[in-house]
Amino acid sequence: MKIKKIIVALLVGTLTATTVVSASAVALTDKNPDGSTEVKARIEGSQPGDVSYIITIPEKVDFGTLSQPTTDSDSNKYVDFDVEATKLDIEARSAVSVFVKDSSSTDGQFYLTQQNKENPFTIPYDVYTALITNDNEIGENTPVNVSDPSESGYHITTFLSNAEGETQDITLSLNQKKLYGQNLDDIAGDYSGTMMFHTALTTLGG
Amino acid sequence: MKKIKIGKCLCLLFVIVLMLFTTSMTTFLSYTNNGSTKVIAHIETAPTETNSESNTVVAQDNNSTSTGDVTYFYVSVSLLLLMISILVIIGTCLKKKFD
Repeated sequence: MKIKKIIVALLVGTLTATTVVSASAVALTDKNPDGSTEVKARIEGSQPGDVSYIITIPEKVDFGTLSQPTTDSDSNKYVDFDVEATKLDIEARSAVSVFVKDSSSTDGQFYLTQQNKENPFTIPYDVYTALITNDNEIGENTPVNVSDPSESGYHITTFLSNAEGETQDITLSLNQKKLYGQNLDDIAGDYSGTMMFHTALTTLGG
Repeated sequence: MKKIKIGKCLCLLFVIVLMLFTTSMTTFLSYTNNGSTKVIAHIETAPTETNSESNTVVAQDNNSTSTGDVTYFYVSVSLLLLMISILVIIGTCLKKKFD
């Protein structure tokens, strides 16, 4: 009798702990990019008349630990991800355009902002619609945020109706040169920014 | 006495269903998104070994996005434990009822 009560109590306690861990696993912001627990998120759109699409974007992208360069020269750090047309149930003459902008920026640029600081330090980063892994490739590409954004943001790709399953490479580039000459004690800490994605169903001409 | 025991069993079942619902909602919410991606980084206070070449660091960060396998694992474990506990509690309650 007692043993059964203990078993039941243990089970309830284990379940409670497991539920808490499950919730916290989704909410974790792992500083170490290895073994991170990001979950791919989705933007769903629907139009009357059985038209629907799903564009998949990552929930989180991590630059990892930034380094302060010893010289006042470019020191780019790159991180890439995919934007995927997971589902495209749209008419043949339609397409899904994807836009992106910074959630809080006032000048249209993308920034990482120091957390939990009264006067936070900000670090800009650029967005490229290509896979870039070194400084040689960066010269061959232009970031999307060099032009003026539309109300929806910067256009990064358009998926045609037959492009289901295709992906668009996106690379974020952060120049650590911004950290040169700064007091590490002042700029140390966690940084975050938010990229807002917007999708729009468009009808092609012709 | 029997009514009290049945009541306790029902309470336990209610708690389990509630936890199952919470876990499901957590999983569901993790897969719906308002269309935003959080970008994060970190700067250490201690002096780091600076290097203008960032290739090796980039190689470590290439896998910065994953498919959420850990979340699947936690949810699977939660569901399995819930199923087992439901069976144990029902069995315990039934045995008490027939004792």
